[in-house]
Amino acid sequence: MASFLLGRAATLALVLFGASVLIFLVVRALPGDPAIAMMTSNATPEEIQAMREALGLHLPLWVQYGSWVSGALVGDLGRSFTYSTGVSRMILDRFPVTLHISLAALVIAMAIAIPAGVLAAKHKGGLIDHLARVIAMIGISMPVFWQGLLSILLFAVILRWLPPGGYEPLSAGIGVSTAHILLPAVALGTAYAATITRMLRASMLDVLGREHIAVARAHGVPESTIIWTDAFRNALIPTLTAAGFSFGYLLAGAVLTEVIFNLPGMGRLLYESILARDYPLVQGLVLLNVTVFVLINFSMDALYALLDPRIRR
Amino acid sequence: MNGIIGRRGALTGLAGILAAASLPRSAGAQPRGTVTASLLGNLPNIHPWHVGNVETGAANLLAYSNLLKVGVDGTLVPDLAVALPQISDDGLSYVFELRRDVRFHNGDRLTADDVLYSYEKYLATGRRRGNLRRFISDVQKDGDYVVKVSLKDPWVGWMRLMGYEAAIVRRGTDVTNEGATGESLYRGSRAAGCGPFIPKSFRADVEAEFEAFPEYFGGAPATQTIKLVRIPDAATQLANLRAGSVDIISNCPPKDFAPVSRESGFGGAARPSAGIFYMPMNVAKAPFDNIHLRRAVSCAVDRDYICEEIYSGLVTASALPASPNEFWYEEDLAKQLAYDPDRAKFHLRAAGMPRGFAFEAIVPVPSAYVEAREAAVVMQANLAEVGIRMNIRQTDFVSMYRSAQNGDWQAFPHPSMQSSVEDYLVWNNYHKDGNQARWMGYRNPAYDTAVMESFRYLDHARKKPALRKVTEILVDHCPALWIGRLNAYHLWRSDISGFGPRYSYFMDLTSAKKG
Repeated sequence: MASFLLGRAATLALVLFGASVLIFLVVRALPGDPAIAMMTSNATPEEIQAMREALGLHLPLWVQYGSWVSGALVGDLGRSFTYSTGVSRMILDRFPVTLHISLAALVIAMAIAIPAGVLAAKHKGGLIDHLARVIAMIGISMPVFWQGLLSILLFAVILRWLPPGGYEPLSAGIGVSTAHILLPAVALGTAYAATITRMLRASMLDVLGREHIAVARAHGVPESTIIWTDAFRNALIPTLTAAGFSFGYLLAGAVLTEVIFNLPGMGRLLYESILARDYPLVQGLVLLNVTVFVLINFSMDALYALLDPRIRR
Repeated sequence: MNGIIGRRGALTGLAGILAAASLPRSAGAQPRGTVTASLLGNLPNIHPWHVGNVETGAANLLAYSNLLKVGVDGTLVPDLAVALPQISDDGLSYVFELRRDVRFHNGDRLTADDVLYSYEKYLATGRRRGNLRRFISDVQKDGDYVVKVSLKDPWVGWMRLMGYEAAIVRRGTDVTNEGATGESLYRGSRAAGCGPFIPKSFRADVEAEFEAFPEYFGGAPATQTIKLVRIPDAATQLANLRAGSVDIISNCPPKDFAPVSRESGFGGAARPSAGIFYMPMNVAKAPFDNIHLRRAVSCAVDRDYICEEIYSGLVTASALPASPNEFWYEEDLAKQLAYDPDRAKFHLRAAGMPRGFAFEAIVPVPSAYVEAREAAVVMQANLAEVGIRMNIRQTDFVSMYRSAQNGDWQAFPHPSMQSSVEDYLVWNNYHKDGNQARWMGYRNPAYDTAVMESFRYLDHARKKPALRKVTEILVDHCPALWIGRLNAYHLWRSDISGFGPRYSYFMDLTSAKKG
């Protein structure tokens, strides 16, 4: 097991190194110039050049890369061009917002998907199944920003039950905080719920069609035990995999949701930093996203290896 | 018993009256309440000399003051100076007398040394210092309250630019660190200004809070706290206004402006601004090195339709850089470039291309004026009617300017916020020393002379003939398709007063109050 994990960790390090090179080069391949973004078009060429030098953009690429990576290894992702604040600090400031929304969205997604997926599988071809599939299809098809705008209109403007956006941390009070994240979490959660519902339904149907389920039924095991103990637990593994990756996507930041609901999270920051050609910030945010995904993948590999010894071989 | 209570009551009442009488006269006008305004664009810093967009401009108006400021309608008005400067006959020397009652946020008094310090630092480190450095040769003091600014060439427009981005800070204030623009800079700026509000808290790209400065030389502000909140989507801003979570919004979709401003519970207003919607054409390369093709484009576009239907009247159509409501607008010259498809076809024939031609228009999105893309589509349809094919390439502003600086462009229709059109854009875009003139491709010594002549005058009577000459050359050579002038417009809740749109487009919340 240890050698398996070590091997995976080595692969992880290689992936991260490759990703860092790729991120660094792709960011610099973006059309546009950070100095122009900061100085606006009214600056003289001399001022723009002076700004380039102040930002270190006149240095050879390998020097810039070396400086960035060596800093990243000790947690220093550089200094944002736009905000002149440490990138690590900005990420630390924004990450809790995204984490909070992501967790809330995931809870909502699972709370919808688990009963919907199980019931749809249990009543395959019936009214509940059709209803769940139609709702899931609507959930997948409806753009999050559209759903967000409609929910703001209904719940914030017309009914005035909830605030139209903004973020309040849990320290501001659980009620206030929840009221602020409810609409965006529902908008995001329902989108992911649709995907997870379909995944769970398919997995459930697969498990319910297996021999051991037929044997259990023949032995008179109650249907609820078959559904929740035998089928659901087996169907949960691929579902949790999908949920894990959904969580990874959520942590990367949902740009549109954060813009529509005015949430100062990672997605909005990434969007702004790309527009401003804020190289250190883009690099830091993308590297974090890659790292999160790679770590989730690594954790899953480790978990599977733990559960299924065949994988370790 | 009743008598004792009565005497006590009387004494208490008397004490109350005496206490009330002993309060400062301003006690009845103590700053109170909070006004929250939303910003569409980013607010990356609060800095006296890094005004890069209308959002930083709005924050600066709260925290800082300048010698002069640009008034609501664009006229220059005294701020830290007691009056407009005395200008020498040659237009090269400006003498300002400072107010003697100005205090900085830390309590220090303003003197000429602070102005000298600020100008020295601004000219050395300001984000867009190049324009003022191009003209200012020297800043000196004459005693504690007189400042003399000497220019290399006459240019009255420097005062307007100075009013936007060269704020006066307390001497010795550490706001000059090149590496600091975010949180650290906000801390450095906290006691630096002498504006009506003191920065209280700041989260880049999220929100900033300002509290009233009771010793502000213009009188204590009416409102205790001003909050600027970033809401990066125009439709969401409107939803927040309706829900009551903000009091004033910087932008809304143009089509929503008039209906919402007429609703009970809301107010709104629009006024001409220094912004312009135009399409510069690269006169240095084909096809727009042909003057007839530039004129053909200018005559083929229906500006009225774009301004009324796409921008809901929030852009004022004009075939000239001047707006029809400005003193230097020339009706007879505007007619030469007005919408006239037959005249467009005439110019195509004169260019030897009666069947039209094709060009690429770089359209920047996203933009504060998001309808730029829809406007470009209308232009595309207009131009197609006379045989001109406009291929649209969408990109963002940074890429657009990169293309421009590389000379890799033919035309880009875009909205642009300016400090002034007559005192800045006409120089910046087409004068040989203008920053954008380097890539606009236009060179004309007669034009340069005409612009510099117009820069000598502040009063309209003398400036108008000089600007007519400038406009005549621009109409004759047609280096851009002028579409219209942007109006500044805002919406607010009806319990807000003391606020309205400004010529500069910056939100001026200094006098805003609720209730």
